[in-house]
Amino acid sequence: MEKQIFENAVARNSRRLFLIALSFTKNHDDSEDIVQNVFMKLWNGKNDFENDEHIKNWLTAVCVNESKNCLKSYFRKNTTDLDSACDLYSFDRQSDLDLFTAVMKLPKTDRVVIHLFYYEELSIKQIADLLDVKETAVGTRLHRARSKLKEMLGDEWIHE
Amino acid sequence: MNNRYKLAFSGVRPSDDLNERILAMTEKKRRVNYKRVLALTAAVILILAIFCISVNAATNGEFFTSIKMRFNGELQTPDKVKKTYDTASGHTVEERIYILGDGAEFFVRTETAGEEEVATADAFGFRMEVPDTTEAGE
Repeated sequence: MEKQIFENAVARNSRRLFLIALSFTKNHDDSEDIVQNVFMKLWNGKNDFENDEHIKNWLTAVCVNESKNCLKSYFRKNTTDLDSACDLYSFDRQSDLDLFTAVMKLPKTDRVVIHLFYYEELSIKQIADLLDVKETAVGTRLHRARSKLKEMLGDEWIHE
Repeated sequence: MNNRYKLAFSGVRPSDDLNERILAMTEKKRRVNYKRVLALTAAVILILAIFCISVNAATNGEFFTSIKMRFNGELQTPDKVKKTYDTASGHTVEERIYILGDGAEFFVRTETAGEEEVATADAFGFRMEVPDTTEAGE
């Protein structure tokens, strides 16, 4: 892969992939390790990409798989305490911190779906393909996650 | 909702040096594992040697004697390298030719197993040097 294309891919996708990994692991260090692994696969692989969108989709799929593998790993570091994880990041408003904390409190399956839906703006079908589950399962998880967030944050976060 | 969600996560970032670490990993050159290369080469040579010895044994030694050599542009057949003939006095003489030197100045020395003196082997088509056996005997 050409160095310039790779550097562009890193610049455009590293943070995005970090957030996807974080939605799986809830662990800062594990998420960074996952992102590094994903980009190493991109660098060492011999894939032919048509455009940036193709690279983006490929990276997303690999990141999801790497995150799943990380959670299965015996050597995985312990999940950090949510409060200490929040200290690593800066939030402009209290409501931002509340939403982040609420999302991180969701069960993993719901958390990942809601992140892919709202942050990555993927369709239910795309999420189903990515996670290798049925579309109805994605819909159920999304509905359940919204209900829990509403329970924790009230109605305003949806309508804001 | 999308904007609200994205805004909340805008402060969630990886370490500042993550991208640098990723790019640094691509700079590392792949080291050649010389031990592995040596081991592989030795294994290949060993397999070839075993193969040649096995084939030679299976063909009663024909395999190695059938290997052709070319010196001074002339193909050396096994007949010329090792020659056996009966003399007039009834002895069987085995003649071995040793090709010495290299390039255009090579010469050929012959040895015989019998008592008969071997003539200069011009028939072989080489400039030959026959050892003086009388000097050796004295």
